[in-house]
Amino acid sequence: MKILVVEDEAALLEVIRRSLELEHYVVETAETSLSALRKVNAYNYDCILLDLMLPDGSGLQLLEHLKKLNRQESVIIVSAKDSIEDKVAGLELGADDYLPKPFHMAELHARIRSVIRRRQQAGSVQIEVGNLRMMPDKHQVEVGGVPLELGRKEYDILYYFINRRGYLIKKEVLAEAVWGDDIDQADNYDFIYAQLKNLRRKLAAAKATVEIKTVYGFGYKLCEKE
Amino acid sequence: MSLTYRIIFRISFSLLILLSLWAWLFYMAMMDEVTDEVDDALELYAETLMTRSLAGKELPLADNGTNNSYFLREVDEEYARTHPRLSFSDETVYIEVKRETEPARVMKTIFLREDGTYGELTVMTPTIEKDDLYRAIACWVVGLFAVLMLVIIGVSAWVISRSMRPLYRLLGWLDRYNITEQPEPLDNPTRVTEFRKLNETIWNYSLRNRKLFEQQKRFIGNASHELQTPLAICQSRLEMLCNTELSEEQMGEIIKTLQTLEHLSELNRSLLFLSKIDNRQFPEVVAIDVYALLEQTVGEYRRLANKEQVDVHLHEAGRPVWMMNESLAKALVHNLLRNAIIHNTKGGRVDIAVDAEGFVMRNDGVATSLDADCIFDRFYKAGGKPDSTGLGLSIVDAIARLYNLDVSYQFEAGKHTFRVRE
Repeated sequence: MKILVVEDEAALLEVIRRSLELEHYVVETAETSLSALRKVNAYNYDCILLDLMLPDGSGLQLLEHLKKLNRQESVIIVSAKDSIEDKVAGLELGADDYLPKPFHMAELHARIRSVIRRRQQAGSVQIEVGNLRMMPDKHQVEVGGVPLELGRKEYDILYYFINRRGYLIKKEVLAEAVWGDDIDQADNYDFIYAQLKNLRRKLAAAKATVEIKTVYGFGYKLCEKE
Repeated sequence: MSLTYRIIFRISFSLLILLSLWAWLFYMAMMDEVTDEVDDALELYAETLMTRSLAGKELPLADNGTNNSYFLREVDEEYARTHPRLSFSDETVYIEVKRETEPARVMKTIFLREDGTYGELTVMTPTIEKDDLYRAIACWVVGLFAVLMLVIIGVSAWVISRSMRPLYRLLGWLDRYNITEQPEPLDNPTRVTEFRKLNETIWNYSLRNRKLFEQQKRFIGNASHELQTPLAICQSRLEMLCNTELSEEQMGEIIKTLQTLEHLSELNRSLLFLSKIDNRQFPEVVAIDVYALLEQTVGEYRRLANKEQVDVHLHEAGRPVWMMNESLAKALVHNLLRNAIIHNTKGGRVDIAVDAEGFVMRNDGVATSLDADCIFDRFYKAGGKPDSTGLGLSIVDAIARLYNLDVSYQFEAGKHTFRVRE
């Protein structure tokens, strides 16, 4: 998987690159609109992370250029400008997603996975981690080829973790993502414990090689068992 | 009260006093003159009678058909000495011919005859005509007074409204002036130095104001925006650090730092939102059914309310419809309700009453009133909740101001009461 990161902030570019390389992506970078244009003209990428505010012009122009060339790259806009107009303009020009700064790295990975998956052929719309296989289009989960029955919330939690595997997910973030906005003020997460307990029990019973670890009471992390 | 009315009112009030005084003095002077004339006539008459009497000529009949009449009688020396030689008085006398009493001006004069005896001559003239005169003069004075007042008021109203025309044009221009837009040219020609100066000053001031506003707008927007990238970098670096092998203690520190960063980022987002509201960057408006919005919001907050053990009650006594931007209307209601739930007590209540003019939200909480003067200020925190941004009510206030809604806070009967009225 080859990803082009267009970002003029050197420090952020470095962090994103390191983080992506840890996930075994091939990462190319560009700090200006012009160098991004050259790279896009010369090579093909699977995904482009695009900052809208570049020193030599707006990222939207680059997007327009890609559209004109009828290129197949997935584009995720990463912008500090959290305005509806930019979001709409970007998505209308064919961007696949819009991620406002500041964002969680886990979120960035999840979005990249999701857009790449969308571009891939239908047969491979499934996620495999260890002996666990998820088929999001069919809402099904298999462990070692055997279907695993999960509740709706359990499935949502597992799907959320699978897309952010290896990253620490804060329980507030998980609660907000799976249960909605209105509980981000909550400081009692009993309902999460209950669902997670069931999910873990089912995973362990099916002898899955992935597990959801608790990280010191701050959050959770999905890892493959060693 | 408009300036024109105020000036006219003051002029009229001062003139009313001054002109009344003038009218009274004028009337008194006139009356004095009339009495004087009557007295002069009496004197002349008396003189004629005396001359005739002294010359031994026959006197005219006491009742000679005119209204004037006289008496002549002899008095002694003693009487002459103790009485003034000449005296005037207003008396009521019985006129025999008419057989009735009438008010009359009476003149008494005592004179020495050739034979050493004293005579007292009393001449009188009825004052019927004088009263008529008084009345006529009074009528004229009052009439003239009224006409004069009306004319003065009319003239000053006309003069003031004409002279103030540039001022009203300027005020009209100021009314249309909107700091978020390029001002229309100030077309207000006048030859009055003061107005010219006022025009010039206001025009320059409006330009400068607009420039400052633009700068400030850009600054707040840019500052919040520029902060996003460093925040993103810090957050990402720490998250990557989290995925390496760390001790529990190290992990704890990093996660706490991440939480602080998140708070900072939330603060930044709220500031950006606030500056966008103040910059009127939410132009689209739709009709908002306030009751329906509250009902929906209460539903969305049920989980939080349950967790905080707070009962939320919604009461409908009217269904106001406000023209607002949808996301701003939501933000207004959300922030108020969230506040009412979070700053409540365990087992407390939130009562929302909607009527035709707006809604009232009452909640339990700390037993003392909050500072109503600064509760809507930015970064005002009363509850001591560490993760509140102190911007929620400022956002409410900014939204209310944008739509000319009246939002107020009172501490009534142990309840914190927020009113939002049209």
